[in-house]
Amino acid sequence: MTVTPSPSMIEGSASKNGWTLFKESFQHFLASRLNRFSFGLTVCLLLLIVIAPFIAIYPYDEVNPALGLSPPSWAHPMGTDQAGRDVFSRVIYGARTSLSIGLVTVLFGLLTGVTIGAVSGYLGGWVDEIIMRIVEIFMSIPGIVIALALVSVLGPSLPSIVLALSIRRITQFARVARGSVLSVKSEDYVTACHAIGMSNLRIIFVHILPNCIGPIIVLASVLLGNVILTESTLSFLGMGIQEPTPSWGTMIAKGNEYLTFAPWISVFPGLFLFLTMIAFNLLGDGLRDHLDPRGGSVV
Amino acid sequence: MKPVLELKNLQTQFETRSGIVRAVDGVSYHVNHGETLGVVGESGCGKSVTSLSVLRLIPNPPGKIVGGSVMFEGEDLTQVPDHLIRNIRGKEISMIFQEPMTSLNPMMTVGNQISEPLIRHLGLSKKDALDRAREMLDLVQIPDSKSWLSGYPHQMSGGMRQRVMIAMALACDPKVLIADEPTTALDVTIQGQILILIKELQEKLGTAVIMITHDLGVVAEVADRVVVMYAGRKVEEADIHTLFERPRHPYTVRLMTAIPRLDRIAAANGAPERLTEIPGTVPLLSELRSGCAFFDRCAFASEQCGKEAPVLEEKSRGHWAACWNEAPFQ
Repeated sequence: MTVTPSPSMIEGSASKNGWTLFKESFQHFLASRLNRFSFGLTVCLLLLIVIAPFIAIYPYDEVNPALGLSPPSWAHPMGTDQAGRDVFSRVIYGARTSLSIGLVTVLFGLLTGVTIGAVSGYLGGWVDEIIMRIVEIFMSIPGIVIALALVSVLGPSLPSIVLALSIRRITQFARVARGSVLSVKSEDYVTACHAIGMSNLRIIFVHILPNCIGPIIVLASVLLGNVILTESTLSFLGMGIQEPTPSWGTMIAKGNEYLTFAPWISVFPGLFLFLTMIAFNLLGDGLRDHLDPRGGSVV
Repeated sequence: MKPVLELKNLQTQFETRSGIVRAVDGVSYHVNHGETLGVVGESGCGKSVTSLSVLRLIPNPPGKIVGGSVMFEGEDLTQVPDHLIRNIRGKEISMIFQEPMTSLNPMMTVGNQISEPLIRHLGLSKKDALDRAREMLDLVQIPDSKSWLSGYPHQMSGGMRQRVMIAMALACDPKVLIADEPTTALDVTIQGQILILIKELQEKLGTAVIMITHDLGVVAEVADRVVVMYAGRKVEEADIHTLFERPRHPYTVRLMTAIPRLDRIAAANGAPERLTEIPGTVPLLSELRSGCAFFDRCAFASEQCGKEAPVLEEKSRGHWAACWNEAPFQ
């Protein structure tokens, strides 16, 4: 029996340009309430990066010892920290550092790690053995130790922190990508690709990787929160973002000492971190389902 | 007539933990322009490995072509460099696989997939390739081809996907089409349609077809000449009529008696006749004995069969068989 194509399909892509297709696909993505929520939240958070100077009431580094540790009030909606700096303004500015460190690190780790893992899994044999042993060596050293070593050599600047945090993510992405590629490369359609004379590069990047996207997106959304927290560990040890530049991780860590009598110092950046993780995890889930043409939630 | 593709003494091995498996052990056959060659044999007899070896699609390791040659247009395909064989795959020689359900990339539209070999081999622009892909869909009789260009494989039935595979394989107008059990995964009605389609397209385009199957019914339907394989070797070769009328290898005979026949069911007073099967199983290729590989399962085996492997000889004109028995079987 022939299957009749659905109406949306009949209109066809041959006659449409990329932009219309993208618009339709995007509208379809936003049809789900959960996707609308996660997408909206993500946009708001990213917007914070841009408009931080306009909504922050005080400069993030304005010290006012007289007002130290004051609870939330109209003047300071999220209270002040031990040095009397406005927590709200610092949280807003902190979005800049934390989100950019998180996004750049995950993106860098994803691109590098997935490429390494895909090539390794696809080629197999001794190439795979060597690459995976190197990856395992890096995995056997605790991530924070590698990061500390790198930052202490390169100095605590933004690029070196991103690099230091990336090393660990590269190994994680590489392993997940390799596993997926291993299972996909033995699929019949990959053999069919060989049989029509495609090059290895095209087979890996056009045919195999799009079919591995599910687990990679999920890992990316999980690692984003993870990176933001690891950065705070670095800061706690004095190797992360340096005061007075705010980052959520640092604020949570520093606020720890005052948790019993001034919880707002930690709670508000924690809340934003939580929202970020929720937003990206849900967005990742939604994207994964959306990108699968079968429309199911198959990973 | 000069053959388009000629395999000479091809040998493919797999290295496994239990030793070397000679999956293809000195197989020779050829296919002429516009001809359909049927390759028959039960599972594991090396017919698929032979065809994959032609395009060097055997995963290496563990597989390896260790001897013989595959001659195509004056070149030995087992020897040419990788980038040249990639130019031949899909353009000069293309393949259709057994499982239409899994042979298409689920993340790519049908139109894009058929375009791939066109862009790769003929250097067409994306737009021209899609136009040609649409013509191909018309050619393989998919209705409403324009809208299917943007459809995904999961929206199609098995028969339609196999049609898409055929469209993809024939897109660059290849000289040889290797069809590896193209109808096994399909139900009987669709099977018939696909076979007729392949036959029609072959006549239209003049492609030589190698039809690999375990189904003698399929062979009877489409093939001009047949090669019967057993345990990695060719045991018989003849044109289709000779093979069905006067099979010279006991294995071929047993294969034919194992086909259920409607006209024989009611032979003995309405009681259905018992179907005879071939006793035993295919020997493990890693543990082949010295004599004839069919020795343990053969009703006509003599002492000589157990000691010496029979050589392939021409029993009558164009009819080759590897069996020590001289008399034809009935």
